[in-house]
Order: sequence, then C-alpha cells, then structure tokens
Amino acid sequence: MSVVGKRVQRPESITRVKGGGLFADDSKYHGMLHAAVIRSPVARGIIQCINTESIIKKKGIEGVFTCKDIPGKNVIPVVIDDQPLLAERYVNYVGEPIAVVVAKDRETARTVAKNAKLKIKELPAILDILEARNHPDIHIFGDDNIFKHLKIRRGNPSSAFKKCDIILENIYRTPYQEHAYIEPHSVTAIPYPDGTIEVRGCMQCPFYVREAVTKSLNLPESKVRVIQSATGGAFGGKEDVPSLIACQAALPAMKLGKPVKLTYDRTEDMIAMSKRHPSWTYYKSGVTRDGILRAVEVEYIIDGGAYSTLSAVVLFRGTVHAVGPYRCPNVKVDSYAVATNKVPCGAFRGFGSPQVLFAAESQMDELANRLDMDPVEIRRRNLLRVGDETITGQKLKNSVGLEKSLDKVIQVSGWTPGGCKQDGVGYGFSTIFYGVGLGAGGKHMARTGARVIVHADGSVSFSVGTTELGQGMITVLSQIVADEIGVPLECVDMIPTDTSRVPDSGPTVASRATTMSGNALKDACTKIRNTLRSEASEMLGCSLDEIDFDNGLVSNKGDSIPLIEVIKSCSFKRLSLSAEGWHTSPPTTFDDKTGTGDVYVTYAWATNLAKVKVDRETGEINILKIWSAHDVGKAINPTLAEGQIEGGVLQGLGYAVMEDMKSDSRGAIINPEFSTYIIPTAQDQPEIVPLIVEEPYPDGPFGAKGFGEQPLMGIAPAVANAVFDAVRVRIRELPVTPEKVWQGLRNK
Amino acid sequence: MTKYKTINPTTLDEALETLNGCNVMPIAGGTDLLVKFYEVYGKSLPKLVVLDGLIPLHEIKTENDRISLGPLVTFSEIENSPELRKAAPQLVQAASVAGSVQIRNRATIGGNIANGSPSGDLIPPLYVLNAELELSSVNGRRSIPIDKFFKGPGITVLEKNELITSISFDKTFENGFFLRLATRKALAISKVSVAANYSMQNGTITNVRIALGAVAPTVIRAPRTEEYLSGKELNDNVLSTAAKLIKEEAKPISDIRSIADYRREMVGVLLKRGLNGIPQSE
Ligand SMILES: Cc1cc2nc3c(=O)[nH]c(=O)nc-3n(C[C@H](O)[C@H](O)[C@H](O)COP(=O)(O)OP(=O)(O)OC[C@H]3O[C@@H](n4cnc5c(N)ncnc54)[C@H](O)[C@@H]3O)c2cc1C
Repeated sequence: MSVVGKRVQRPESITRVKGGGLFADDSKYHGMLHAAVIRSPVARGIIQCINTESIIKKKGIEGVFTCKDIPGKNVIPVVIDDQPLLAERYVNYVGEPIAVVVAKDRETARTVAKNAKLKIKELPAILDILEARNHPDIHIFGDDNIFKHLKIRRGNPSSAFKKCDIILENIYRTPYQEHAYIEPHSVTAIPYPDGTIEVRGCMQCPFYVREAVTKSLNLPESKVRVIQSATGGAFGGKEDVPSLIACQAALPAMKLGKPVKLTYDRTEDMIAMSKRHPSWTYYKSGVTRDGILRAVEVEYIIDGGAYSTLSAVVLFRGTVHAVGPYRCPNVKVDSYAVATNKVPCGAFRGFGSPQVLFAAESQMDELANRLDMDPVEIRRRNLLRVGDETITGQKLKNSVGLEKSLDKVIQVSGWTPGGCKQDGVGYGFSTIFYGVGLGAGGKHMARTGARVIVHADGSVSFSVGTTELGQGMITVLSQIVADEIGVPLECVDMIPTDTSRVPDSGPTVASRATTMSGNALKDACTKIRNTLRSEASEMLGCSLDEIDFDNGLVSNKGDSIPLIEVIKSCSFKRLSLSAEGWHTSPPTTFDDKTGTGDVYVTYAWATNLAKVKVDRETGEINILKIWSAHDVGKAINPTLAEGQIEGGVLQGLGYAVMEDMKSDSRGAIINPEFSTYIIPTAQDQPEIVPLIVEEPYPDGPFGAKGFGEQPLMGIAPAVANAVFDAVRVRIRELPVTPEKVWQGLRNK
Repeated sequence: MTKYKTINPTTLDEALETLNGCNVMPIAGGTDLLVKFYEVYGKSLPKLVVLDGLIPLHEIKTENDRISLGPLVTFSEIENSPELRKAAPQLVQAASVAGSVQIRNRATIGGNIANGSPSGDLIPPLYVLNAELELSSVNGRRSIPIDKFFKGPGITVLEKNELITSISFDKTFENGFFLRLATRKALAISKVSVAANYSMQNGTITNVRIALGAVAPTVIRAPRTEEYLSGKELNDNVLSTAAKLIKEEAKPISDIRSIADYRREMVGVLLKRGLNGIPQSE
C-alpha cells in the first residue's frame, strides 16, 4: 500500500481557494433560456386561477408551465409519492411551486414570477406538530397528518422503571437548521434532437434526479442523462431537492426544445428548500444507584412540513439512535413524522439523529448529576462494547471503538473528574454512534457500481455513481484505485459523476460513498489486476501468485519490470483493461412491529468534549475548545477525516448556540437571509482537536467505515452539558443562546 | 456595479449638482446600500453617484481643539488613527468591533450615519462626543447636532439632494468606552450597545454622557442616569443604582436578534462594565 492512509492533498483544493471550478451556474449553452418559479404566498389554500395568458404576453417571456403541462406523473418520487412537481388544486406551504416561467434572461423570469397574480382562496393552516398530529378537521396527509409512526419495543420498561432509583422525565425541543451550502441550487436541462434530456447541476444523488425526470416527463431511463457539476456543499440539502428543481427545468426544456437553466437565489433557496426537521421529544430514563441504565421511554416527533419527502427515513434513523450508544434492556420508543403547512424538511447531516441525541445525551448528563457520578463514569458503565446488543437487538460483532474514543479524548484533554476550574468554565461530554450506510431503512438501494479503465499510457480513469460534495470523495477513491492498480496517485482521474457511466448506485448520503464506491472500485480493480497479473507472469516467467505490485513496479523476487510495460503489452495484445465493479451491502433487517433487527451493517462511534466559559452576567457562551474523537475504521486520508471532524464540529456549534430559523404565524420563514439567519464565521471557530480511532470494519475498503455526518451529531448536547457544568443552568431547547442562559441564571 | 452606469464626480460641487437631479443616490462603501439595492430599488434602479473620488471627504482633520472627519473615512481608518485613539476612544472601539476586516475596509462613517439604523455602531459614540454634522446641497450648508439627525429607524432629516460632508467634535481627552453584545464574533449586528464619555476629577465622575444603541427606534441618550452619576464617586453602590436607572431609560423591543427583557438588563451590565474599565468580551 502506498497512498491509502496517507495525508495526500485534495487536488481541487488550490483551485477552490482561488475561486475556480465550473459550478452549475457557470455554464452557458447556445440558445439557453432562464426559468423562475411562481410560488404560493399562503400556507394553505385552493388555487382558483393562474392567469397564464397574461404572463405569456409579457415581454421576453417564452413560456409558462403549470401542472397541466406535465406529460408524465406530477410527482417527485422519494419515499411516498405525495409531493407534486407543481401544485394542482391545493397549496400546502408558503413557497410551494405552482408554475414555471421561462424567459430569455434571468431578471425577466424572476421579476415576472415574483409579480405573477394568482387567485388563491386561503384556508386555515396548521403549523404546530403537536396540534397537527391527529387534528380533527385539517388533513394535510392521510386522516391523522402522520407520515410515519415507528416504534421500538424491548423488554418491559414499565416494570423496569419501578425498580429504578432515579427517573428523569423531560421535554426537549430543537429548531430548523439550514444547510447554508455556499452554492444555492442550480440546474440546466438540455434537450437533444433524439429526445434525450441531459441534466447538469449541483446535486448529491444523480440517480434520484434521473428517476424524477423520467417519471414526470414520461421518458425511459435511457433517454435521461444526469451529470453532476462541481457542487458547492450539500450536507443533505442536495439529496432529494434537486429532483424537484431538475424537473422544473427539464419540463420547459423539453417543451421548448431549448436548454433551460434554473438557479435559485439565496432567499428563495432558504424559503422553499429542505431543512433539518424541528423536533419535540419527551424523554424518560431510569437508572439504579449503580449508574446502570435500566429503562428508557421516548416519544419523538419531527416536523415534516407539507410533504413527506424523506421524513419517514429521517425518522427511522432518529428512532434507532434514540437511546444513544448504550446498553438498555428495557426500551419503548414511539416516533412520529408529522405533516404541517410549512416547507418540507429533509436530509441534513445526522438525518434525524442530532435532535434525539441532544435529548439522550443531555439526559445522560443529568442522570450522572443526580447520581453524583461523573459524566465519564456513567457512560463507561453503559456504553456498547463488542458482544453487546443495541436497542434493536443487534449484536455487535466487531469494530466498536466507542470506549477507545472516550479514552483518547480523556488522555489528550487531560480531563479529570472534579478537576479544578475557573469560575464560569465548564466541560461537557457526549458519546454517540452512527449507523453506517442506508441500513434497513433504505436497503433496496444498498448497492453501487463503478467502472475503471486503465489506458495504454498507464493513466487510469474511473467512474462511480456517488458524488463529490466537498468532502474529498474523489481524493479518497483515487487513493484506493491507485493502490489497487499499483499506479502513482497522479495517474488516476475521476470522471464527473454521470448516470450514463455506471448502473444506479443509489444516493450519496448516509456517509456511504467511501465504503460503497470504495468496495465497488476494489471489485473492478481486482478484475483488471488479474489481467495484469497473468500478463506479468508471462513476462516474468513465474507463477501468478508470486507477483507483487508496488509503486509502479511488478516484481517477482529480485526480478522486476515497470507496470507500464505490462500495461503496454496488454494493450498490444488487445486485452481489455477495463472493468465494471459492483458492491452490495450485507443484509440488514428491521421488524416494524417490534423495532428489532440488524439495522445497519456497522456503526461508527464518537466522543466529544466541549470546554466553555459562560459569562454569568450576560449569559454569553464562549466555546474555548472541542475535543472530538471518532472511530472511522480506517482513515484512508487522515487529513480529510480531520477536515470532516473540524467542519462537522463547527456546523454542530452553529446548531448548538446560534442558528435559529423561525417561521411566523402564517408559516413563512422570517429570516431567510444570512444577515438574520446567523451561522458561525471563521472567528467563531474555537480550537478543535480532531482525534481518529481505527477499529477496522472487516467489510469496508481497507477497514474503513463512513462517518461524515457523525462530527456534527453530538456537539449540541456536549455544549449544553458544558454550560450546565459551568453555571448549573440546563437548557433543553436549542439553540443555547445567551438570552436563555441569562433567563436560567435569573430564575435560579 | 459594472453593469450599471455610475456617475463619478471629482469635486463636491459637481457631486451636489448631480445629486440635485432625479432618481440618483450617493454611494460610499456600498456595504449597506448594495445589500438591499435590488430588493428595495429593483423597480427603477437609481443612478449611483460614487463619492469615492471626492478626495477631501476622506480626510481626518484637526484644527485647534476640534477634530473633523470626512464622511468617507472608513471604519479601518478610524480604528488605526492614533489621533482618534486618544481623542475619541469610544469611536475607535466601536469601529474596531463592527463587521469584519473586509467590511471595515469599505464601510464609511458617513454611510453609517446616513443609513440611520438604531444599531449603527458609530452612532452612540458620536452622540456622546456631541458630534455636529455638516450637511451640504446645491442650496448651501447647514449644521446639525447628531441627536437631531435621526427621526426613526432608517429615517433621518437628510434631504434627497443633501450629503453629509463633515462630522466634527471637540477633542476632549476624556474617558470613554463603547461596549456591545452580538450573536457572533464577527459580521454581526449589535443586539445592544452602550457608549459613554466622561471625566474623572478627584475620584468623582463629571461631564458624563451616555448613549444607547439598538434599544429604541433611534440611538438615545440616558439623561437621568447621566444626571445621577455626575459628581458621584464610582463605587459598587453607585454603579448598581446607575445600572438600574439606565434600564428604565432603554426602550427595547423583541426581534429576531434578541428579546426586550434581556436587552434592557444588558444595558445596565454594559454600563457597569464600561465604567469599571472591563474591555469588550471576545
Ligand atoms: C456583512 C456586514 C456586516 C456589518 N456589520 C456592521 C456592524 O457590525 N456595525 C455597523 O454599524 N454596521 C455594520 N454593517 C453596516 C454597514 O457596513 C455600515 O452601516 C456602514 O457604515 C455603511 O457605510 P457605507 O459607506 O458602506 O454606506 P453605503 O452603503 O455606501 O451607503 C449607505 C446609505 O448612506 C447613504 N450615504 C452614504 N454616504 C453618504 C453621505 N456622505 N451623505 C449622505 N448619504 C450618504 C447612501 O446613499 C445609502 O443610502 C455591516 C454591513 C455588512 C454588509
């Protein structure tokens, strides 16, 4: 192995820092038109009239399209097909797309869309999840407004609580979180004379986009080609949503026979695009005096907004992670994704788990306090180890580095229980875990393809179906290919992700790209390696298993020849050095009635420690330092792994202490701009100490498992716990603002 | 900006002449104007009169005991002026916590005043320095004390054809401070701010002027607290009473940035901290 495990630099880094890279909105095509979307101004209503004729007469307008123009199904396929591409009779949230306007230039399209006159009869809306669930009169979804109800039943919590010495019951709330990707959504649809539609844009999941476009335009999959352009951040916000945007561009492109570009402006993007689900959690946990967690009962409700999108699977992850990484023999979890007349929520780094982990880990800290036990000791007594069962009854066979991550944080930070500290300074822990990959919630998609071609000059190209989003996937996969073929890293290039290159490989979500595409590439490389090996054995005159590939050389004992000579010889003999790779995940299960099963193929594990200083007069929280240790199986590229930790921690800090998106009494987002939706800046970044633990996952490439989401997930509870440690104020509603801490201090 | 034609005068007279026309608007650093340009003026974009070429309006001048700043002096220039550091510490402190390096390099004092926001950070310091504004137009010049300039959030007495051409105040070499609270460490608008100017004579405080930002429709003075403090020795009791008084003088609201109760309380906290010489928290 020569580059796997090494700190190689991302090849795009320098270009990006200089502002380079071809992003979706940078490309122009001959005859290209611009689209803009007419949106609902009300949270719930009946569309009475869209005056398309008056719009089409406006100067510069090339067309206006409503649901009536859709040749295929008016639906954005995600999990349940409830979301229309363009509203038909009803609108269900402020910002819901109603029609698409196309003009020669963007300004005209946007102005006309903004000023379009609509006749909509407003209906009473429901905005609050607790009201919406089982609402007697207003039905946004089904007859109870519940997109999904999941449960876990383990042991007998009610009798176990009777034997507990300490029982804590609390309510926790979390708000929206906006992805704040640096690049707003943008897509261009290009029609070809043969009827093919090509879609280029920023996205996480080209195959989702392809499915949506084929269904709405009634085209075969062979006639739709989706290519990802350089994507400026995603964080889940470009998982399901690009399907909608792509269809909004592809419909007019097909109808008008011209390329159509659709780029959202920031405010529109923040009003109408997905966010992290706000949540409400009732959490009851019980321990015996020895600090052993005996029983947990959770009711977890997430606000799905007007359409189900990914809510059912977001809820799934939240449900499975509801107790945190602990053994607990008696568990009852009931979770609900509820419909409200607000913008649909979707995927966001952590996918339904940060909300419930905030509750779970705050609760663990409070239990420790009530027991007069330190927060590390209570965790040690309960955390999962090899051989233990999770709350779904999944027996952990290997790769459980949780305790190692805890030890590492303690060792590096020098934290000691009851250690002496300045007034107002506090430390807070969180220990968490992350089910790697799609798991049983999306197991039908748990496969991925790859193609590798070794060219006659020794350069190598590869294609995968997963996408680069800034996380460094191209680099990591190139490292794997370089080592598997035996060529230097500089010889390897990835072809931009394109649905015509590989079979449907599922989405780039759930921290799955490294493991899934990595394994598929290994499969492809092995096939090529076999051809090279047999050619080399002929050239060196030795048997197949005596050959070593290393550093551009093929050798047998003392004898060696450059790999390039073997490649040339294959080429000369017309042997194929191109291969397709395929990987499917090991099976996963989940029983809906009991909530039991081997839910994820493996888990990643982490410990966070936050050190804060709270100003007792102003309630201001100064984050002094964060230690964050993650068991990633194997860090294919430690620098990029650390980058994930640093970025995730900062995004988690935003969620913890400042990000606060709000909607008004009419369901409209009131702060859809970066001047009012406040996220951390470089100045707000504390010292972050990223720590890597490697407990190899046998089915992962080189032992690696996915963990890109995990760094965000446990930061909020670590900070809330640190604030409590500092000034004995417990905040159970995110974000932990100075205002809330001050109120807490005043009420003491 | 490249897409739209701008007018680039090089003398004040030329600038005032152009501003006397229809649908024109001055632009200094553009850090307020450009943010809302399309949204507010989208329907008929005004022609922008670029002030940058008016060289004399960039100057910081000292004459006898008076300092005058041209409206185009930037936050960075204020932050780095040794003269102002001595003569107007509160103004320097305010300039150095606002925005970010990039914003401070462009944002001007004239723009901060003309924009008329109750959370404009240079305004409370200018209140406590008793600053005078010179307003000029084709019709002539007038002078107005800063506290007569603002009518409400974003509303000022400035006529459409007028420019702020100078901001002046006495050099006092007294004590002063500016403290604020904001949601993050950079690029944040104040939730609440307090500025003061005062002298210490034989252990007692005199000549005290205090102004509050972001807790009323405009920046306001706190006359009752000023009166209470003047002639007092600064001890814990006096500071607590002053903090209580000043809370009653603030008229904050709850909005997206903070809540009224908190803002009111923090006015008192910041006043105490300022008078105790505690610097801006990081
Ligand atoms: C990211 C960001 C962060 C910010 N942070 C802060 C902060 O922390 N504190 C703070 O106080 N402000 C902040 N601001 C606001 C802004 O930077 C300041 O108000 C700045 O002083 C405005 O000056 P300018 O030169 O950029 O004004 P411009 O935008 O050029 O002009 C603002 C208004 O004043 C008018 N104008 C400008 N000069 C004159 C003149 N000489 N006479 C008459 N009218 C004039 C213009 O026509 C316009 O209406 C921030 C802005 C941004 C974008």
